[in-house]
Amino acid sequence: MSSGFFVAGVSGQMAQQKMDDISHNLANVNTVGFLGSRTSFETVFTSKASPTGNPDTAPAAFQSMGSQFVDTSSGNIEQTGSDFDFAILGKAWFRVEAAPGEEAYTRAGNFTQDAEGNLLTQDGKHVLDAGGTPIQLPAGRLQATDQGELIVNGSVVAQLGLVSITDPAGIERIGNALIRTPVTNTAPATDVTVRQGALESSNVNSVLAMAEMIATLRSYEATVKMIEEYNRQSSQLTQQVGQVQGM
Amino acid sequence: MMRSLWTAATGMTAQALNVDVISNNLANVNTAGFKRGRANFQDLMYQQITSPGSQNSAGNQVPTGVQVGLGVRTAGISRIFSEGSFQQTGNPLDMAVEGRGFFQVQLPDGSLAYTRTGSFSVDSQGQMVTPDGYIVQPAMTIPADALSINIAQDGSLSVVQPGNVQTTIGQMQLADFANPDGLTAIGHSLFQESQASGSPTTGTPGLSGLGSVAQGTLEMSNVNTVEEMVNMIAAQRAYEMNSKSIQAANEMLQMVSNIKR
Repeated sequence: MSSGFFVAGVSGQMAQQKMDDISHNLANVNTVGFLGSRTSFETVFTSKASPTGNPDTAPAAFQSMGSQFVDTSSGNIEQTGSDFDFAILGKAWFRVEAAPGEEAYTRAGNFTQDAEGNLLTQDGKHVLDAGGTPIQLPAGRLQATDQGELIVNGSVVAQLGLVSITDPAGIERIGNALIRTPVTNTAPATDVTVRQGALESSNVNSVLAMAEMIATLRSYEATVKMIEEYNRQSSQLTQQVGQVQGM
Repeated sequence: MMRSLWTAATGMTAQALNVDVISNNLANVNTAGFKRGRANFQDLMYQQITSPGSQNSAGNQVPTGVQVGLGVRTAGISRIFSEGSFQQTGNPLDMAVEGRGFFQVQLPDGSLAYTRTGSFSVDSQGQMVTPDGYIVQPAMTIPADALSINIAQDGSLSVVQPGNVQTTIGQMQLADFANPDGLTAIGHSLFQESQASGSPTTGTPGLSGLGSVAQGTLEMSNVNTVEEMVNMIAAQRAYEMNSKSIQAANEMLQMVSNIKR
């Protein structure tokens, strides 16, 4: 059977993956601090070795999920007026305790607190201070400075832990608006401003996502046409070749 | 089947909930003491296709992984306890808290509820009650012959009786919570304590971080209509775009099923 048949099949499967990615971005278009992604593909050659060890001269190129690009650009900053909402102006991330001794980072500053005054993310993870210890706040109205110092009843009680990420390619999204990256890939953030009463919205560009969706749909259509064509050829093969003329 | 279908469905469910929350805020735009809600969303888990640092077919390490996300979830609906605007009503039993703190109200089952709505009135026994008839705590009885009622900023309530006799009737107490956002809303502009809010601490208005009481004033809803309308447009469009994802996935599947005629 023609290898092009499978090449088209794999390519179609990849287009489906890409559509899944686009759907995920669109599903999170209103998720605070969400980072959109784009998937790119790469070509893989089947290197079938001939008996002498040389690669086959007629390779078939398959498409494979190559790399994914997580967009770390900032989303829009929206005013919310809530004392427990924080947005970062600049390239920095809030430090969050994913599990004891394990850190994750987020740009979603829609924090809350529990009965003990622990500052928490929306799914109950502890927000860490500059030294890496969970922030606990005394009762009273919370205020924050531009540097991320938290003030309750007129005295500074904690400093929000902010890090910058050296290589954005090393980011892995783990859900709940959190990302994970090795500690060696982080550095204390400088030159950033924390804005209280504001949130960073999702950085998904919905226009771009819709355009990508159409492009993916059409490229999928093209691969399906290829499969249909191979299908037609092979049915001709089985029906016509070997048919005795004049019968 | 394609993940897109379910991913987009989570998006539509989330945005539908978002519209529900916004509608409730808009419905209560004129409810005294109402605190607006906000739906918080988070991305769902990711399916790992290639993990970062794994080797590709050429033997090189891939610097970035490939993960396909599976949609969105509602992390919670938080209540925003920012202060609403104050409105002068002139009614002597209308009270507003300027700052932190809640009025305490006794429910028919004996438990306490908390409210920012201070539109109180007097029942047949002269007791100060909420519009639903729940007794305000600490209970205070206003004499039938009271000519005027005076509530000071510190919450002390006094009346003037015939003969220009001024009598102090009682002292309002306010309750505060470590985490007011964690209170459970039970309707009727009332809240109840929960695990997340912590237990109440009560005190005299104006002292130990509590707000002071303003007589003849009501705290209005803290809903900002313009903001809610903009949020509603954003939610509706997001809903629409997610439905387009479903349509696109459907079209792709249709193409496949049409290959074999």
